[in-house]
Amino acid sequence: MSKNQLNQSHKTPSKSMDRRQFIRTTATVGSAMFFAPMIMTRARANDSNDLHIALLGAGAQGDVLMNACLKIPNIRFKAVCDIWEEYNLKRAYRLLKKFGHELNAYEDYRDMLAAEKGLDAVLIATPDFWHAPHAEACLQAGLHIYLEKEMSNTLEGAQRIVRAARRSGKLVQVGHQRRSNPRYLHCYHTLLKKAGILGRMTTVNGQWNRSVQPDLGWPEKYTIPRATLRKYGFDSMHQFRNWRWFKGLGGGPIVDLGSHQIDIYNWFLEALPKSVMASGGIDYYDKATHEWYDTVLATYEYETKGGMVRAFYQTITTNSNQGYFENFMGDQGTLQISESGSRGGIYREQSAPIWDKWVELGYMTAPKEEVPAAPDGAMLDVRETIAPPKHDIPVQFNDPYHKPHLENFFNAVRGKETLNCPVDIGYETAVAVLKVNEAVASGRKLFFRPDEFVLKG
Amino acid sequence: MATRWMRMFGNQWIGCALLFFMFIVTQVIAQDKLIGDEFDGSRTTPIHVIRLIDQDSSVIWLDEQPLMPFSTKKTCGACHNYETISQGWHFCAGDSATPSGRPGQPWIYSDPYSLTQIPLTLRAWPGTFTPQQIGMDIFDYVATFGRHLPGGGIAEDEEAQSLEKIWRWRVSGTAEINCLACHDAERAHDASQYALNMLRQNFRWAPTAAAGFATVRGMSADLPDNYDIYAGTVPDQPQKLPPQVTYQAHRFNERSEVFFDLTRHVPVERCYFCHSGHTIHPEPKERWQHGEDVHVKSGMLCVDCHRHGLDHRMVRGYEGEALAAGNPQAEALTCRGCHLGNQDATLPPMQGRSGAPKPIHRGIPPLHFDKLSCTTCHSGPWPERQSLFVKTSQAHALGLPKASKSESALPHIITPIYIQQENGIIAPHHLLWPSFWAEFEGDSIKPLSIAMLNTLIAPLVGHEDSLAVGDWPAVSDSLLLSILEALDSSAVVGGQIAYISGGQVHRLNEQGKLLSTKHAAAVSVAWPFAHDVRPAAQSLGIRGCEDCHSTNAPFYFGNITVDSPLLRAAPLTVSMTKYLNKNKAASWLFSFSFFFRPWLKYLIIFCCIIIFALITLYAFKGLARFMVILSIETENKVKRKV
Repeated sequence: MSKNQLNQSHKTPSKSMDRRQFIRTTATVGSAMFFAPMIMTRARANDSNDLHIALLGAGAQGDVLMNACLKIPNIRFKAVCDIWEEYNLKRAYRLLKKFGHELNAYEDYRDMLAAEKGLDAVLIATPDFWHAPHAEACLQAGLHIYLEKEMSNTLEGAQRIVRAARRSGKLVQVGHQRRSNPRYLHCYHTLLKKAGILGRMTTVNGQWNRSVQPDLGWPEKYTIPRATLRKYGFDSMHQFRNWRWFKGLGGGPIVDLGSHQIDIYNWFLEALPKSVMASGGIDYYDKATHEWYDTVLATYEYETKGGMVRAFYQTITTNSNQGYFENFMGDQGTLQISESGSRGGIYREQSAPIWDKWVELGYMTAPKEEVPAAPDGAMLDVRETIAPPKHDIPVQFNDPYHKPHLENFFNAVRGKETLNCPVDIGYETAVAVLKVNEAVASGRKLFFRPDEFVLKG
Repeated sequence: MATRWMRMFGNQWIGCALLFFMFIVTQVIAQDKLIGDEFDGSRTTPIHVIRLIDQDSSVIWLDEQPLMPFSTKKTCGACHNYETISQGWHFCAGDSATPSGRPGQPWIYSDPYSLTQIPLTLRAWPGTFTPQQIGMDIFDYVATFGRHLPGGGIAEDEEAQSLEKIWRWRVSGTAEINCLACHDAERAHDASQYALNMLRQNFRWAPTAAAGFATVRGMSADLPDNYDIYAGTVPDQPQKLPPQVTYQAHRFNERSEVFFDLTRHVPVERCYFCHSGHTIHPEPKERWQHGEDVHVKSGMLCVDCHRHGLDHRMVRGYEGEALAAGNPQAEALTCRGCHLGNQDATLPPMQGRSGAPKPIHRGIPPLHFDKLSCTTCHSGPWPERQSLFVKTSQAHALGLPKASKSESALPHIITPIYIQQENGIIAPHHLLWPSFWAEFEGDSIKPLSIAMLNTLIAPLVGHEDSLAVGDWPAVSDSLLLSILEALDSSAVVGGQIAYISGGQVHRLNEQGKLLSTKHAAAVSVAWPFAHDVRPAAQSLGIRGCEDCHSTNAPFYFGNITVDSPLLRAAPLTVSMTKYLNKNKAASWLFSFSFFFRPWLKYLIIFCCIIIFALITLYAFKGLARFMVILSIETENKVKRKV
């Protein structure tokens, strides 16, 4: 399909190619596009450092990854695959073409893997229940994969991915992108490991609170045919768009959101949980369309090198107060960190040694002097308890959140770095997180066996 | 089969036939008239009770809690050929196939903090810059000036989108032609909502926001690149409100159809939103003291003169447009076309259209009609000795509730300026003195980008007191010198930095002193205007020749302010004669002669009387002589008889 044809089809949909023609043409004529003068002028010459990648799943999360990848040099999209041809697939295809990528579009990942022989890696951003089959197929095809979290909606699915990775020897970067975030890296390596600023860590709490969200809609015209939906495991278009809420497809908010932060608990505590107990339920939304818990409060117990740490986590979907963050609390201070750059800080306990040294070393900024407002009559402030001064994390990070994690993956593919979140780490997090839903269902405290986090064979 | 055909008729015949077939197909497509495009002769306006359709061709069903705004392209385009309409004058800026014609008002990027007011346009008008020349891509252009852009053209051309802004376009949507901006007869139509939503980068939502049956809240400019318009929320940033449309339920009938109160007779109010002008008088006038165009006050609509067909190639109405725009019909819709008619007796008479009276112009020498446009005497504010400032909708965002209402708000447009145009005809103009920062590239000047203005210049200027009104801060030579020194030493650009303002280029000379010189890029930019037309009794010349031909007549000797933020001991001005291409002394002498011209009448009468007396005297003398001769001859006859 030529650039002009695509453009024409945008302007006059009634005269556009039908979907079969779109797929067929992009797949078969794609290589001919190399000779199109427009593309030649926009695309840069091939580079030996180039990585040829495919995007599998071009929905909201695929969009996020695509956006970040377009800011990374030497990444060349060769294929995009999505079952929603008329919307996701065409949008992603057209956008990437504009950026000068010579690529083909596919509805079925099997067709893509069969046709695309020059790929180095695949970014998988499909619904959780498709992760295992998609990852297995890609790894079997000899491709490295960047796999969006959660690894799978089931433990069995996650295990299939680990085994496939071991069989293929290919890289699997699991999309816990905070592990490559420079702010988190600074906190872990510098503040916790090097300076030990928190002293003896005792408790953690974190949350991801969201306000009430309506169900995702879709353009009526682009409704996926029922047969196609069935073919790919969905009962309806509504379920396809809102798969995260359905058992068998996703894992609910604790998996979608909590997974990111519970992964950080494991990382920063350098331990895996011993037990979890949780309370949750479908308290607000319609149970017919929301099968997973809209509210979950969970408490983990970690036996760390320093001693017991109790870690609380909550995700609620009816109130966004305070957004999302993780608080690590020790006897000498508190570290608050969030992927959102606007939140975060380090607070010293009054009894802790002075942190001037860390300030001078640039580990943290000096606290800003907060002058208490003098009440009328200029009364002397004789309060004994004042808020602890806030030190800022001196690392600015303004790129798309996923960019460094993707860069780490691409550099690992090139053999220049090791993965920040390889499949085994992703599996540990999956085990820790998926257990929360079990704990809610059972209403009991559940214990992890140490060998549960390690997949043998 | 093809081979047999080719054998029978030969390749070239097949080729010709194919070409002919393609030509016919192209013609059919080009003339693809839809149901609303066929005129059946009825002068009534069809009632539009129709379904709203969104950009993805989905019908907006009220009972399904619609998320999307309606699309004019899909809703109006269902019955009217959108592609044909897209050729219209209002939608085709940036289209090289459309002649730019006589200069109109450019967009003006103005910013008191960086001492900037620079004329921008996508049309090829002299003295202006393209938005790209100041680092403004099409997205920024639409987001900045879209408040008074009717959409369409480059605002919805995906090919024109820069790669850097593709994600923003996906969030904002493209700006389709806002058909309702002109054709909505509903009193509740709120063009300021359209403007507000364009400024919020809600391009997709802006026409719906202006319609009287829906409200839009939220702001695309706040949303992340990956915002999904079918989500309706930004999950983790609840303070960032995505655009949300709420339709008034009672406006939908049981079939989810809406009554669009549309009209061909575009109300003046619609035009006024983008085409209002407000002259600033030294002694402020109240609203009721301001006049309005005489045509409008007599009940005419703008579209009575500014007509167009389905292609929306609107007649702008200036003389010479027929040739410039390739539209022969345009000639009949000029001032002369309606008021004087055509001189060609072989054509039907055109004079008097819409009741246009034929002007008498008693006592005015015909020379004036060759040298002046009609608007010179009949349009704009009455000229004053000191030029005035004017605020316009497009330059000053008039009509937006929160726009600065200060009379000194930038940009500073000066009026009326009588300028002899390239064709030798004098016409009234608005005028702007560009002020901007630039770098020299050889002898030519390249404006600095907006990004540089914001990051480099504004902090150096350091003024914060103009925020309230948007006027120039006062800039002394020493401040200018220090800014230029700082910029030159920072070496952020390759060439020498200069500040263009007040008709001059200011830069550092080799000794580091301030050097101010003339330069072609520093000259004022002007564009003719035609409205408001004053009644004949308020036109120049109504009080006699001295309205223009006196030694202090503003027409010749008005002082035009040289606008600039640079402090001067006394305000700089230039004389109107400069723009009239006249020698000031000669013009003064010519005007001075009109002091004696009333006396000339009496002198002529006196001379006539003298001449008459002399003639009479000599006539009598002749008669007396004749009588003497006659009497002598008679006497001689008598003597001979005797």
